[in-house]
Amino acid sequence: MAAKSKNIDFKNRAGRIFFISGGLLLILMICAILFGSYLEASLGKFKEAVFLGIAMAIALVSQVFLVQEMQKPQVLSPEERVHASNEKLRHVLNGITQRVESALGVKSSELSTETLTDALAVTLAKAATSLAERVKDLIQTLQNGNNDTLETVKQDLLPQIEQTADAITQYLNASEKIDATLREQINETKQLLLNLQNVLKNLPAQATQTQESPILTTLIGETYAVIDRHLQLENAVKEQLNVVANDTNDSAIQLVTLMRDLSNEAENLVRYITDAVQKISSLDSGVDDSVGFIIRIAHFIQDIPEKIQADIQSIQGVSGVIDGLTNLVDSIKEISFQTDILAVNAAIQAAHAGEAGLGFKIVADEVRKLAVNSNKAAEMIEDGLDAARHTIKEGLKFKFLEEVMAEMNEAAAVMESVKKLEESHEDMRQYYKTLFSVINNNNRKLAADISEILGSIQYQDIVRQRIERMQIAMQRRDELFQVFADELEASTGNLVDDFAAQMNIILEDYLEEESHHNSSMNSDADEDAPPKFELF
Amino acid sequence: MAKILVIDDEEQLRELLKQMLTRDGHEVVTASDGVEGMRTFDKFQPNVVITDIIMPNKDGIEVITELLCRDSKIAIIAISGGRRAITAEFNLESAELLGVKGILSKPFTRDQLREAVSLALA
Repeated sequence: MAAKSKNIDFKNRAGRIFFISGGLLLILMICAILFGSYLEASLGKFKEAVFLGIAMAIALVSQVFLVQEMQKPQVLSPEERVHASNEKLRHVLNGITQRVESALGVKSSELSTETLTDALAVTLAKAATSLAERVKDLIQTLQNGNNDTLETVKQDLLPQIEQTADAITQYLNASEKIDATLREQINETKQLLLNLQNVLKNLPAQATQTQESPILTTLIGETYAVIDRHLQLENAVKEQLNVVANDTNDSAIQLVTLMRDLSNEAENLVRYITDAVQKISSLDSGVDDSVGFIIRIAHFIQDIPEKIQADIQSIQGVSGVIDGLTNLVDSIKEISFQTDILAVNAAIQAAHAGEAGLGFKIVADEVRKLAVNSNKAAEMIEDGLDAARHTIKEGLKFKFLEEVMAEMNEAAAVMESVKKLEESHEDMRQYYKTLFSVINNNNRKLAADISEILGSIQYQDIVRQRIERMQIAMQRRDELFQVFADELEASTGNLVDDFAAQMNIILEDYLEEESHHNSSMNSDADEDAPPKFELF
Repeated sequence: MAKILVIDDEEQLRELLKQMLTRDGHEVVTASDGVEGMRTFDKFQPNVVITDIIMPNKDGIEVITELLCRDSKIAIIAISGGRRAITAEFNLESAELLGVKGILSKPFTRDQLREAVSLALA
């Protein structure tokens, strides 16, 4: 749609210009004929007058074209503007040629060269025709957007303009009798043509490169060689950078892997020792309980001989009591004997007393019976006490006491052993506690050191990333260099502006990427936080 | 000169050390076991800690570990005479591995103590 509207716009404008130019030409032709008549009257050269008119027409139309170009509002892009102006120019030039040829009644190529001025006039007409052709080519080229051909066309076109301008100059020089006013007008025309030449030179910026000098060509060649060598050097450096990056990366990964293993092993060891310490604590409490129990048993064993001793003493007391009772029984027996004798004596005395002593004899007999019974009872008690004494003596023989004394000593030894056991246990506990504390502490330090090492190795990876970013930027730059070098080699180089812009983009991209990484690293930076391992 | 904390469960040695160090111009406070020692450390903030290893409640190894975990630069001198099966050498080697600045095997001389303290303060 845009292209179509452009075409319409162009055609409208071209038509308008053609119309205006045609009108102007018509007026100019009339003026030229009138002026020719005047000149013929004064100089007698009709052809010369006509060609002068043509030259002026070219100049004026060009002026109109230039004025229009300059006054035209900046609504079209430079390319469109050049295209449109060239189109106008082509039409104008074609119109000029056609009119010249129709006025002469012959083709400009068939014009006779009778006089110098005629010859110059013919040259001028040919130049105008040729110029029109070149402008057509230029339009075609611009439409195709082919820069290579554009250069060729422009190289052809610019000399054409120069040639036309020269033709005018020569014509003015040759025709000395030209009126001063006319001469001035022709000079202006020439000036305008030269302006047109400048406009054409400057319209596409690339045109500045068209006029290559030998020095420039040499410089370009040398520049290409330098860039080529530079690229070779760069490639060598890049290869080395790749080797360095890969080597350091490989070794860093290997180191990290080893450190990881080491760290895991250290952590496992710390965990194992921590668990072991906890288990030992629970074992300790179990052993403590056992030791306490053993101590209680030892105390009980230690107390047993004392208790037995006390028992023996009480039993011996009982034996004493029994002995005391035996003596008492003897006393009873003695009393019974004495009582018996007394009773016998009393009975004898009662018999002597006769009948008066009869009652007394009965009492004496009863007392005697009592004495006999008492004696029997005492004997029975004595037998019982003897049996008790025998039992005690059997139960508490002296040998038993010796055994008890030995057991008492052994119980004391057990107590000593238990105390030693308790001390040994205490020592062992202290020993393992110290041992585990030291191992645990050292392992913790080891784990911390390993963590620090991992952090340091990670820094190596940051270096690798920086190198990679540098490599990417260098790669992009090298590609750009290559394109530039190719252009230079082809001697059509018009990439200077683009090249600088592209280089700038690469630089900006690289700096932005680098600053982004740096800022993200800085924002993550926390002095207390452990190093992060995002890269492995 | 310096603020020194002496932790030992033996009262006689504790007092002897206090006398010796005070005579050398140091400010000395004492504690009879690890628990009291840690409390006193927080209050007194000494430059040097002299601690026995085998003590009731909290032993010297625990004290050293705790203090060095707080700040690995704390100057600690470990003293030990051993007990029964646990030798002084074992205790002091353990303390050294934990990172103390000096070790003294009981009994030690006044000069040995002075040297250890000055090394710990250096």
